[in-house]
Parts: sequence; C-alpha cells; structure tokens
Amino acid sequence: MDLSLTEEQQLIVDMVRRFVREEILPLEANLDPDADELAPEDYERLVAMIKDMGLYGLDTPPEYGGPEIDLVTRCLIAIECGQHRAGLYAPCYYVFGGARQAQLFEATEEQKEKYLHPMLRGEKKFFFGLSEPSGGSDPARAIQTRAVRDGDDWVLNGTKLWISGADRADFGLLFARTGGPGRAGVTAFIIETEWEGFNVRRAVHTLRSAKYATEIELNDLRVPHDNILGEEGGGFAIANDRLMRQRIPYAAECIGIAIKANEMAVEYSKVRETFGAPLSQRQGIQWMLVENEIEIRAMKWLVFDAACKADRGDPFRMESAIAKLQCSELAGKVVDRSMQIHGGLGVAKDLPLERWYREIRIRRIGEGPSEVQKHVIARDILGAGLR
Amino acid sequence: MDLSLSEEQQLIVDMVKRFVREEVLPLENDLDPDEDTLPPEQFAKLVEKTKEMGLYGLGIPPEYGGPDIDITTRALISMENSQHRAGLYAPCYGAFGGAGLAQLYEATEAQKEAYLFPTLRGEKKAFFGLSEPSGGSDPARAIQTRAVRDGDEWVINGAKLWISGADRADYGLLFARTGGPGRGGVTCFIIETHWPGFNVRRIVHTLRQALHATEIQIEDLRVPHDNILGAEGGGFAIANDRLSRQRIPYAAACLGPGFKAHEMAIEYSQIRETFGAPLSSRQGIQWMLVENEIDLRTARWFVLDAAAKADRGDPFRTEAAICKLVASEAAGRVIDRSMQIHGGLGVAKDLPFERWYREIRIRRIGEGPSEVQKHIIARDIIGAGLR
Repeated sequence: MDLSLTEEQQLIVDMVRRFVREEILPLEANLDPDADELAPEDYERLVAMIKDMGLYGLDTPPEYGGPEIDLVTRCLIAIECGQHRAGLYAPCYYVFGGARQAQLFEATEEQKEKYLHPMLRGEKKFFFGLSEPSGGSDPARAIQTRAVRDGDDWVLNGTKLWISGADRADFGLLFARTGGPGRAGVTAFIIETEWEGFNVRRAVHTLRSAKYATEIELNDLRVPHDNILGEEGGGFAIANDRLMRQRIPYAAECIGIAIKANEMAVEYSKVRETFGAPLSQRQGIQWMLVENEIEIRAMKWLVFDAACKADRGDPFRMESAIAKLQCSELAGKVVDRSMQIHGGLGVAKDLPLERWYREIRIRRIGEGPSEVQKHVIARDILGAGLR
Repeated sequence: MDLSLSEEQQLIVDMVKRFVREEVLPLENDLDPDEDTLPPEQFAKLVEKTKEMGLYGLGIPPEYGGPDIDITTRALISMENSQHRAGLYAPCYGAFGGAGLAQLYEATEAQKEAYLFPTLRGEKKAFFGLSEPSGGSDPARAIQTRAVRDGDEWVINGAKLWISGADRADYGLLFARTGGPGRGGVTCFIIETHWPGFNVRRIVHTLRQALHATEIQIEDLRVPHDNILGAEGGGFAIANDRLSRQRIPYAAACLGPGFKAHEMAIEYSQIRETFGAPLSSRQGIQWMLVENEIDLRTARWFVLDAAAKADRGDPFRTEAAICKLVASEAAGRVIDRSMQIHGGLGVAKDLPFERWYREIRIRRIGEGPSEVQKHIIARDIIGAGLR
C-alpha cells in the first residue's frame, strides 16, 4: 500500500496546475461568465501546448494515438483541470481533447474508418443517444424507441431526450429496442444526423445556461444493418459498460471546483472583517471550512479507490458508484458553503461560485442520479437478490 | 499510488481475522456482556497464540522487543482485532499486549530500568495523569496542579480527573505546573502510587460499565528531581506528542465494531421478514446499509492516510485529527443504524450492539473531543493565526 503520488504523477499534477493558473484563468477574465468555448485561435494555441506536454487525448487508447495514462493519473489531472469557472462541464475548454465515445473502439474496421478516426482527428462530432422521455435511469427497461428489420435496413421510430450536442453532431449512437422488454432487447445503431427521419425537435434548457440538451424525433429513420455497433441485442452491455466506467472521471471532475471554491473561501474568510474581526476568527465559519476540507479529502480517496481497482482490473462497480454518489453530493455542499462565506459576492456573476452552484446540481442527476447509485451499491452489498 | 494491501499485510489481516473468529468470539458466549478481562488461563492461552503469530506487543517499538510492524499495518490490525463485543476498549482482551506509556521510551536509562522494563515484562502497571477537574481539553492552559521545588525534590499539590487505571497502577505520569501559565510551564513527573500524598479519591463511573476512571488527590506528594521525565517545562511537548500519535490507532479501533455491526445488520436484514418481505428488500433499509458502507470506507481511508503520512515521516497532525474525528463519528452512526435494523434485539444484552453503542459514544469525547479535533484542523487550514 502506497498512498502518495509517484514522482511522475506529481510532475503531471504540477504541470497541469500551472497550465490552469497561467493559461486558463487569465482568459476567463475576458469571457462571458457562462462561456464554454474559447475563441478558435486561443483554443488552437492551448491545444498545441497540451500536445507539447504529451497530455492530448487523455482517454484515447495508445493504439489510437492517445498517451498511455492510467485512470488514477487521469483522475488527478481531472481534479486539476476542473479548477476554473467553466471547469465542471468544460474543463480547460476541452483543450485536453478526449475520445469520449469509448464504445467506438469496439467497432468494426469499416465503422472505425468512417466514424472513429474522423472523430479522433477532430473532423466529426458525435452524440450519445440513450435516454428517452420515458426516463434516463434504468434504460434497459425505459427504452421504447423501436427498430424493425426491413431487408438490409432497420427502420427506427421513437424519441430521445436529454441528448447533448445532437444539434451539432455529424453522427451518433442510438439505442433502440429490437427485441422484447429488458436488457437483451436493446441494440446500438450508429446513425448519421443528415439521414432522413432524424430530427432535432427542440433544445432543452436547464439551470446550466452554457449548454443545452436536445430532444430528438425519429420518424422512419432507415439505418443499414452494417451500422449496428456490436451485436444485435447487445446494446445494453455497450451502454452499461460506458455508464459504469464514466462514473469515475465524472466523479473526479466534481472535485476540482470544490477545491477551488474552498481555497477561495479560506482566503476570503481571512480578508473579510465583520463586527471587528475577520470571518476566519469565528468558530462557526472555521467549522464550515473544516467540513469543506474533510469532504474534499473524502472525495479524493473514494475516487482513487475506484480508479485503482479499475486500473488493477478488479471489480469496481460498487467503488465507482460510491465515488459518483459522494463526489456529486459533497462537492455540492462545499460549493454551497463557500458561496455562503462569500456573502453577496457568492451569488454575483463576478465570481464563479454561482455558475458552479447551478452546474454541480446537475451532477447529482447526470450519469445516474444519487438514488440509482445507492441502488447499485445496495445491490452489491446485499448480493444478487436485488435487481 | 497503490491502494491495495501488500501480500504481507493481507496475510496478517487474514490471520488476525481468523484469530478473532476462532479464538475470541467463542469465548464471549460465556462471558458477562460487560466483561473486559479474561480468566488468567484463557488469557495466557491467547497470548501464546499472538506470540506465535509474531504479533505480541503491538504498541512496543521493535528495539524493545515489539514486532517490527509499521503504523499502517498496525492500523489494519486494530480494525480487525476490535471486531467483537469487548473490542472497542479491550481488543482481544489485551492478548496482543501493548506498550503502556510510549513516553517512557524517551526516559533516562535509570528511569527505564525502574519503570519501563518492568512494565514491558508485565510486572508493573502505569497510569497517565494529564486531565484535571478544570478540564481535559487544552491541557496546557487547564493544568492547575502545582509542583514546587524543595531541594532535590518537588512537592506536588492538586487533583487529577478521568485517570484510567490509577487505582490498579504501580506508578504513573503526572503533569504539573512548575512555571507560568501556558505550555512552557508544565513538567512531567514519574510518581509511584504508594508514595505518601498520592490518593485515589473516588471511582468515576460512566456509561461504559466495564472499566472506570478515577479522581486523584495529590497532597504534598514529594517526588525526587530525577523523576522528571524529559526536561523541566517540557511536559506539554511530551503530552502533546502522545495525543497526536495516539489518535491514529484510537481512530482505527473505532472501525472494528463498526465493520462488525454493519456485517451483522446486512445478515439480519436478509433473514428478518416484516409485512411479507425481508428487510433487505425495503429501500429505506437498503439506504441505511449504503450509508453504513460509505461511512466505514471513508473513515478507513482517513485512518490509512494518516498512518501512511506518519510512516513516511511527513507531518500528520491534520490527518490524525481528521481520522479521529471522522472515525469516531462515523462508527457511532454505523452502530446506531445497525442497532436500529436489529429492532428489539439491538438493545438486548444478547447482542453486542448496546455495549458498542454506549462505548462508542465515549470515543467522540476521549482523546480530544470532536470539537477540539475541528479546532486543530481549522488551525492547520487557516494558518498560525489561531491558537
């Protein structure tokens, strides 16, 4: 057992921290408080710097040109590069690149040629279409979009909801029911957004103003049989694998803004005087900061535990569910307390706290709400009896 | 970073786990529910076994004959050997031996001859006399017991409270004021309990029934100058070092009954049926178990973090305070929830819950109450401004 960072991990952490402080924070001074994109010339300049650091395309497998970095180190990086205003949903404004659609690494050679490689080169954009108006949780049972075979094609009809980026994507993954109810009846299709029958019906606005989700309508969308990803009826396994793996970096991303919020609260508490003494001298305030500190440390250990298990190839379903649950809940508490300590400044758009406060709320729902994580954990504690 | 147990650690953990299940748990069937000592022949048998395992004298440094085991592994052992009814305050009924007073390793050779070695041989018992009726927290300021020099001797007058085992001890450490107020004015004396002027005035009973604390009255107790431990005025440093180090094993031991209570609650929830279904199928109960699981895992990482820092020789005051705070609070919650799931059985003396429930409550006060731990953490977060 060794709980300290390796020398290499420490170097990477220091490098990313410097990058955020020297390159990202100054840019944000001139951006809209809700911006989630950089001007193209800034973006390209920063991508070039990340490539120089050898950190571009973090979650891209080495055989596709990504750096071979283990999950623990990627979590350490995620914690650092989230420490700015847009950091929760647009860490470093995406200049670290990233594959995101890990499922496509399991595609056929032909599918890779057509979709994966252009995406990795940054030429094509992608969406992930799982959730429906019937609900995002428990997708195996919630999916009602139907695909019916017709010769060499499949014909899809249905609706998808909460789909990020479908209005700007070139292609995407759509999960539809090809068989009976439950897990085995779901198949994943790769579809192109220009095909007839694919329509983005509306933007779905949320309390996060930077980005919106979309609702998609599918009317007799014809998809070639060769565009099935994986096997017919194997869609749930593909979706589930993504959901489980995605929880660990998703959890780690919550920690960055919590660390930054707490750091700001500690500093501000020493500066702001009320009733003749700085806030930092008041024990009520001190204990708020102590709770921040403890919760931040707890989040880290739970994420590292899950990432270590995943890196070792051990089962990590319970650990990733605990990490996702705790990080989204605790980061919300830390941001809330830090906002409180800042008083009126805490809710002003001058500081990032109000944006974090809105965005972190989504993390308790996205990628499986807290209640589903508890359900997953309970299932593992109590054994196979629960479904 | 490697968060898995080493092969050796895993072996030791498994060995101790087996020892508790096979040797200690069966004995408890025939013991009084509040027992904290074994009959001598049973005790001797268990000591023989821990000696065979090479784990006797866990608190003793290797150069004095203790096993050569790091703090992390000792913490792992503490989490195991406390997993039985008496485990919180009498882990394995003392069969792993122990150091007595760690401060004596800093004593002069003559003092070691007279006190340390007889203690390690099991011939003499010691007490630790710091707290007073004026309070146990912030001892540097609370100590009012006074020592005045008289030739080659010191004459001590005052009172001590909450002192464990003073009525059964042969000698002990007594902290008294030899100078002005504050830290620099406190000196540590080794005193013998048969000297005139040393009196155990009364037993102090608490909600823990097994062992009691004492109140001590000191009237013109004459102590040779050579019986000062460390330097004159250096008493606080001696006390403080103990308090800081002691927090890690103290925190680790809280988790043993926590783990055991949780394990029992999981098993019972699967057996006990209400309204036609086992408790384990009720989501309200499931979430109580999920909270147990998360509380225990989080506290465990805090203990291991503090132990790893202490092992590496890094500063660990904050980490020790956090693990003491979190482990004592978390174990209390886990025991409370597990008791609740057991219904009437939870409060019956048939099961260990009611004893754990009483004893774990003390852990939020003993060795520095939660509020003092928060004060320490706040001091480290905010900087030297706080005293």
